[in-house]
Amino acid sequence: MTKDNLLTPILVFAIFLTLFCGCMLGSTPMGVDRIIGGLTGNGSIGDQIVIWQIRLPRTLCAVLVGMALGASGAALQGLLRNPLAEPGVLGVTTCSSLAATFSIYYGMTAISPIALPIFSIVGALIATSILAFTAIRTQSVVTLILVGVGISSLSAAFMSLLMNMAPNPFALSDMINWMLGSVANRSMDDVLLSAPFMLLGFAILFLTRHGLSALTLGEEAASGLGLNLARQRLFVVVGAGLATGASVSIAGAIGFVGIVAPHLVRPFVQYDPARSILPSALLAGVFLAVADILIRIAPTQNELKLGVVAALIGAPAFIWIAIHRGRTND
Amino acid sequence: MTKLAVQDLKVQIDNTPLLNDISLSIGTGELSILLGPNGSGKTTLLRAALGLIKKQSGTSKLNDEDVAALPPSIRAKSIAYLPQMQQLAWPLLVKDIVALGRFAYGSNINKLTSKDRDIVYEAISSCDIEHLSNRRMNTLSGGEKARVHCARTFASRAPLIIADEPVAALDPRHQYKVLDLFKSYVAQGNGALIVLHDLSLAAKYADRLIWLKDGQIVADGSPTETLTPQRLADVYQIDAEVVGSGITIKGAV
Repeated sequence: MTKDNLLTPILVFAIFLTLFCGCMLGSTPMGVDRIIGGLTGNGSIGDQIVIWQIRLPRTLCAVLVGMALGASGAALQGLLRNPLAEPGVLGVTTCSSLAATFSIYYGMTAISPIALPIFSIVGALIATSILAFTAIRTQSVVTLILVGVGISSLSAAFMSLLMNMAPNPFALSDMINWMLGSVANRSMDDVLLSAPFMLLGFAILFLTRHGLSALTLGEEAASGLGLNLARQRLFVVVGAGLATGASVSIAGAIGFVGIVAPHLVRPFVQYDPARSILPSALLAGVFLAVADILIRIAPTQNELKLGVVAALIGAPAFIWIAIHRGRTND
Repeated sequence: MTKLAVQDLKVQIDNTPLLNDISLSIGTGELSILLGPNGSGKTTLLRAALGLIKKQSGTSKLNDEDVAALPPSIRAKSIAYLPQMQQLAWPLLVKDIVALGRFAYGSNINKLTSKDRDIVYEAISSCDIEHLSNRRMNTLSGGEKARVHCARTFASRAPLIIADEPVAALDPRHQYKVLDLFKSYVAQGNGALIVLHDLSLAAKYADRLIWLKDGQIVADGSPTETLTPQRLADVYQIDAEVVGSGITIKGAV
């Protein structure tokens, strides 16, 4: 029991530590005194600009995107009763980035900046709705994953089509950057535009977490316990759609984060899907922010994209979990 | 007294009738056992009576209220439903699974109120699984899992229990142990409707036998009234001898 109780405070502390390190580390590391000075407004103008306009928004962005993806992953896994469910694997992020790219391509974002998160969220909701609808019709986990692969492939195909028709190399490079996923050069305004949607999605997922515990028994037994299945599905679909869509609108497509964090958290929360939502979100936030810090300080010629690094770590984890699934589950 | 009354119930899927003109009433104070061969519509009847699937016509009422229109948590406080055992998605602790029996009361399995904790503990001890309560579900044998699910069902304190083959895949000793648990739950003033495939067990434990064949109830009454060689031949198409509550099956007809 003490393990459960300590996990969340430790992760909350880790989040703040990561945010602090995110301000300290970069191409030019800054000392603790300069960070505190910059954060409190007592440091030099240069430090304040670096912290408030570059490093803090970037780190905050990585933390929020990680949290949104971690919570969505944990909730989708609970709903679909499957440890391999994750917004990236199930095609939710790809579908969302397609919608986002579409809105940029056709100049919707020029009309209003809010168009980007709206389109991303609608894209994510389309994918989560198809998945939830499939989950009602089939008990087969394989079918569900295949539908996710289908959504992902179809979205990727449309994405290629958009790239194929890109009017100029700049538009093309914009789209590729989008698909690779990154939190570089994000401003506080970008964060503030997406954060409310992420937090709303997160709140919905958190409030309906107890239904996920009931779903451990299977859908029929869960409704026998008194769970309103239709409402549970709707809430998880909308919550995960909002959180994932908003994260795509700010960071592009970053996959596999939502699969690693819940997998690591589960043994510490007695495998209860309800108890895994919050720690999964926090751990994914720390994971993504740390990965982003490493990217910044890595001496590579071209800065690596966060989505690429996340997939390089996450995809092997996905394969490992898939292979060991039969053994660890009842 | 809690009563579930099904009237003229008809269910069909893709124009195939699964249940026809089912009328049935189950209440507290008796242990009813639903019998019928594979495909006779037993599970469909349970699901339709609980309002979990769409019905073509007819009604299913819990104390004069339409079951399908009741909020699931209200229904669950009166009727605990134990469907056929399914693999768990996650290897939860035994005590957490039993605590899920309190779900309809808005209980959080991680932070039970002292009242809920007492009820869960009582259910655990009534099913003789105290020694397992801190184990993970994936470490238990089939018989132990069945008892955990019984405890979970009893923890709901629902006056009616509907259970679909709760002793399937259990060895004879565990079949008796699990049915003893249901029997003592009913003896406390509750009611139960249980689907069984074992005729001898049904004859031993039932206050009432409900015989289902091709989606219709062909007999409904006490074992002494309804358990006859003719009925076994008609419903199950088996050649059997019945002496008291003992059944000797000679073969298929």
